[in-house]
Amino acid sequence: MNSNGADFPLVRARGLRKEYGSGEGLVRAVDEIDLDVATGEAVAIMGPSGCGKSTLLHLLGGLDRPTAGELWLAGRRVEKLSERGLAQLRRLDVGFVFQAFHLIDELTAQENVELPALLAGRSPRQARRSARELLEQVGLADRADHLPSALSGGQRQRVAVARALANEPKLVLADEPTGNLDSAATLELLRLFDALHAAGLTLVVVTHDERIAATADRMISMRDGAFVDETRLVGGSRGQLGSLFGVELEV
Amino acid sequence: MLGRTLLVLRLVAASLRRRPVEAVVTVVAIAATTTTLTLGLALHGVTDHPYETTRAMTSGPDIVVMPTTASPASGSSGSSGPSGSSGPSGSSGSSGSSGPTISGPGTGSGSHVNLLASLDGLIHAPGVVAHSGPYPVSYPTMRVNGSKVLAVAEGRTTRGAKVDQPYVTAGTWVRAGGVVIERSFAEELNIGVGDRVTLDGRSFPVVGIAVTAAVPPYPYTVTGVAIDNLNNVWSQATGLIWTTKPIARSLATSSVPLSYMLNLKLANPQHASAFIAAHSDGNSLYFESWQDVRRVESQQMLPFQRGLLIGSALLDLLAIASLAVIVGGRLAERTRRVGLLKAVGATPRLVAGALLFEYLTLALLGAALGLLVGWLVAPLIANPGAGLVGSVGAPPVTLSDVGWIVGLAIAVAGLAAWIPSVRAARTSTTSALADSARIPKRRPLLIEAASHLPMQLLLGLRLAARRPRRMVLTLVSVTITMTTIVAVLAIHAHESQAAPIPASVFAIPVNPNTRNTDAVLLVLTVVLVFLSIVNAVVITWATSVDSRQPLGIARALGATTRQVSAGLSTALLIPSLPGVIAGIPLGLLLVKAAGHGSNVTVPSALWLAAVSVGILLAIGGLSSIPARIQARRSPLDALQSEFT
Repeated sequence: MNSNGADFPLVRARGLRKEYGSGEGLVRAVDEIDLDVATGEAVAIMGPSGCGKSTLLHLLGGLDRPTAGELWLAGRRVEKLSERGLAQLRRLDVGFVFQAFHLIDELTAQENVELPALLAGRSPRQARRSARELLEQVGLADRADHLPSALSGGQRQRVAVARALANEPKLVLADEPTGNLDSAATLELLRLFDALHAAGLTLVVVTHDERIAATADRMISMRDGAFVDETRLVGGSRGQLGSLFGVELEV
Repeated sequence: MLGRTLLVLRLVAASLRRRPVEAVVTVVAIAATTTTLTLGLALHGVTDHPYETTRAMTSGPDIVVMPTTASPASGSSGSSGPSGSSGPSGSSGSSGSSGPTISGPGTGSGSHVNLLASLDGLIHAPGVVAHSGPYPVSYPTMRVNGSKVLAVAEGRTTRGAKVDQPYVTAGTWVRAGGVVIERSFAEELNIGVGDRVTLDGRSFPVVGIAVTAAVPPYPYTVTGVAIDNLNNVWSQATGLIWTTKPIARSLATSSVPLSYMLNLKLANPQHASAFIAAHSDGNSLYFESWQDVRRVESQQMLPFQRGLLIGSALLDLLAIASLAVIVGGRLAERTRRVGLLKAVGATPRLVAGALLFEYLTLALLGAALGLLVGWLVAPLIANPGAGLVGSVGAPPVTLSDVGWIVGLAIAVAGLAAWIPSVRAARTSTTSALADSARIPKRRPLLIEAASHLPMQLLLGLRLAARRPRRMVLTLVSVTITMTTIVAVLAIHAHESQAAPIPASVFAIPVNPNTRNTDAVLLVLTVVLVFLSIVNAVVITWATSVDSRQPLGIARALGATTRQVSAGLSTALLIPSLPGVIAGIPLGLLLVKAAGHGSNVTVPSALWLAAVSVGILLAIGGLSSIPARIQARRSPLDALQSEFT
């Protein structure tokens, strides 16, 4: 397969499989998944807990290696990359947003956002300027010098989003990003994702919240490690977030 | 009850299975600590009044009297001892001069009758309650195992004496045709029972090895003896042997004729000096009080004892640092685990029981290992003065030592289980589950400074800044190690600069004191370095465990395994560098403080640089082992383990 074609998707998975254990204890967390995600597309993966959606996300982002199958990201074969190659992939091509935020406790919001840029070898000044802009973009410019412990859950998650965007990744992967947030904070985050999507960012969001899935271009249902259903949402729900949450929104 | 016990056992087994490397590191750290304690306890017996013990066991005399006919002080030989004689200056003769002044014993003036008459007068002097001798003494040249040394041969009866009956440590007491060798003399020349020695060309079997408190051991039994007055040849070293009276008499020669040795026991041993002052006639008799002998003994053992004292103190400090790190390192993880157990309904007592049992298992295993290593190593350094009874016959590790060590292990286990139990009991279950046990310190200046550094240094500096107390422990550990190594280097540099012994001197082949001290320094240094290695590994391990979350995040954000591993090693090297630098002047100060020469010889810059670089490389290399193990874990594992 030619991976350099102009119509080649940003993410392509073929027969992707992830197994844990062996013998009778073998668990197939991801079972022969085929997936294409086009550049600029927003995909929501839904399913009950334990269906393998987070594992799939970890495979897509190079946090874990598949047991079998092929995976391309931006034309590169991910499963064949060395540890160093995977690290580089995570550093430059992928941004992660975790349910538990995973901010470093002793670093301020700004320092947390700077970290990926410093890892990528950018100068401290550049990293700082970029972090400032991103925090401004997520509406937290006035909280830049706060420690995570001094921020609300929604604010922490927005810091995590800013951090995910620090190196202008091709793909942002969000694992239950609203799982620890209340409705208002969820709405704020969805607006942020919506704005990023509108700006052309490719998003893959794992969730079990249908309201969040409804904001995507495509919704995939997963069960027992496999895709069971796929729905294309025409135009996504951009502009309809408020109605989803029963809140009047200024778009 | 059975169900709970089973549950506790299962929890312990699961915990050990889940973190086997950590369990092994804990056992090693506790073993290192208990080894140190074992050595400390074993050495305590050695330094605890060994002379007094020997004196009591041998009915040691209060005063030893020998005729002296040509002392350098009296000038009858017309010569003085060799300059720079290495003999101790503590034993004084009746004239109060420094150092025994026997020179050419019995080499001239005075007949045997006169000598014996003057000694006989002392036996009946007021205050004397018992005596032995006078025993004939000759000074044959002894050849054995390729060495040539001057012996002091004392003629004895085969029966025991009321005063100064040497304690036989091997073989038998004097019997016809055989000789008994003073133990330090025998050890120095590697003589054993059954060997043969040559005295002035005549061969004798060695029938026994013994110790005495009457005279100082080899090489200072009698110092500065002229063995050839005409040619001005001196011996710096003499060792004592006991034989039968006829043999002792037969070994006398015209150039070194027969002398005598009389042992006196006073009604009040404290009056020895007064007795000597009252009966000293100036030149013809040489007196040595039991206090003189003790002073020589203590001077002889001083460097050894100081070495032990300072070495054990340093070892204790390192051991405490190890324990602090090991217990502290597991606390964070334990607190989360306690939270988890509480969340599923375990009572505080059950949680504490599970933790205590787990630590007890590890601590007892470590203690057993430490006892074994200590028991094997102790004899290497617990033999400072072979001339003294000390701990002769007693095992270096006693039952009470074992009790102390097991007690320490149980205390460590109790403390390690108690702190997280109390912490977890005080914090809510959700907090214990979700949060890091101790919120790391924030150091804004360091964080800012680190952002200007390469990634390895950035990670290292920020990791170091998270736990400053741990970094202080690293600093202390490395400083102690470097201090010790520099001190050893300085001592060796000092010794290598010592003036060579003149060719005319009948020299000591090897100074046993120097060799003893060297052995102690070597063993202490090895143990210290080993403990430092354990510390380096334990601290890196603790740092890596404690930093799983930030390192997992860094990995998720694109840090490579090598960057994370190098960052962890750097976190240890940051405090190690000032430790290495500080260790250089501190090592020299230690040598000065220990009184090893007023002028401290600074080791060559090349050696210091090599040791400094070597220590840093060793720390970097050793810390990279746990660092790599940690860094190779999946970042997912690191992120998820925060909650398990």
